[in-house]
Amino acid sequence: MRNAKSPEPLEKYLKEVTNHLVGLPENEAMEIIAELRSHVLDRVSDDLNHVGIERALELLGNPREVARLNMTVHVATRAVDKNSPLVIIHTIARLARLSFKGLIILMTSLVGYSFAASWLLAALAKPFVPDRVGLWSLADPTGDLSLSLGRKDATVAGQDILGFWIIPIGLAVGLCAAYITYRFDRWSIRQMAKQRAHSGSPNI
Amino acid sequence: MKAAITEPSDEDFAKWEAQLRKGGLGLAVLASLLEGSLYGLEILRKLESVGGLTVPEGTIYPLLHRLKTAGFVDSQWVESEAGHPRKYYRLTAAGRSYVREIAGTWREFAAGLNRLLAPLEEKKNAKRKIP
Repeated sequence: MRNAKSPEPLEKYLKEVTNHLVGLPENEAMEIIAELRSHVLDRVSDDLNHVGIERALELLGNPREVARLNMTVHVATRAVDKNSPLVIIHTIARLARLSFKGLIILMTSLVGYSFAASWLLAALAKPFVPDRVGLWSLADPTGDLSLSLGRKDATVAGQDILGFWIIPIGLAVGLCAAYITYRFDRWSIRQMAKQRAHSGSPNI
Repeated sequence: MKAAITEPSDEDFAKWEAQLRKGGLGLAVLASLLEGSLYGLEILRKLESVGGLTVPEGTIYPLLHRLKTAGFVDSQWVESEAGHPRKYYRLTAAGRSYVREIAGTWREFAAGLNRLLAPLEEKKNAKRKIP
């Protein structure tokens, strides 16, 4: 949607924004660019010269930050109404590349899902390898507990605390942890969409 | 042990103002569309001239996108006399009813806060009366 009147500095700015809209569907990226172009042309309608354009671009903000803010809001709002855990995880991973806050959310999410997965795997593996899977109390003077999967050395010296109870307990704890992490991810995405969109500053 | 009392800094005030803006900006943008459809720059100008709100220009479109995704505004590209197309935003029925609802809450909140802050005004008036 390039305009014949569109001046060179504006196109250079928009190209830089486009370069930072990596991964956004083409139609969404084009829409953002078209709107920014329209905005600048409106801003300089009475003053279409080099200085006017530079001033309008300055008011719009750093192209990288403008792209990042748009990316965050577009990526987050697209996932807000989605229920698929895969879409939610994919969105969190994308947000992690856009901001430090997104990275923290991703790390928290990974801890949550790893915790859930270890309990679920322990519960599912117990019937097949009962001697190697369990919640082992290690023969350690400090009395540390270890949720061990396939660790022969731990089982030799330790005691299986839960026995076959790890199956229902592991399933319950694992599913609860996965659900809580999923809800946390959805809440975080919603908050990021809202906060970024309402931030009032591209630098926040 | 007494806690050290410090005067509120400009930073404290700026933080408080930023929080207030975050909460009110969405409502302000929706309210700017109550009288009809506007394009981005017109919304910014209305926020500034009527509402006294200066919004960094690059932030208005992500906010409008979020409001659109939420179903509160609708948009349409229109060819303009200026020679380039403009994207006009207008309130949807859901957006209008949302503005009405949060405007009521906002007014109640502001009225309550004003009542709580009334002693400040009374003190100010009392000071003025003292010759």
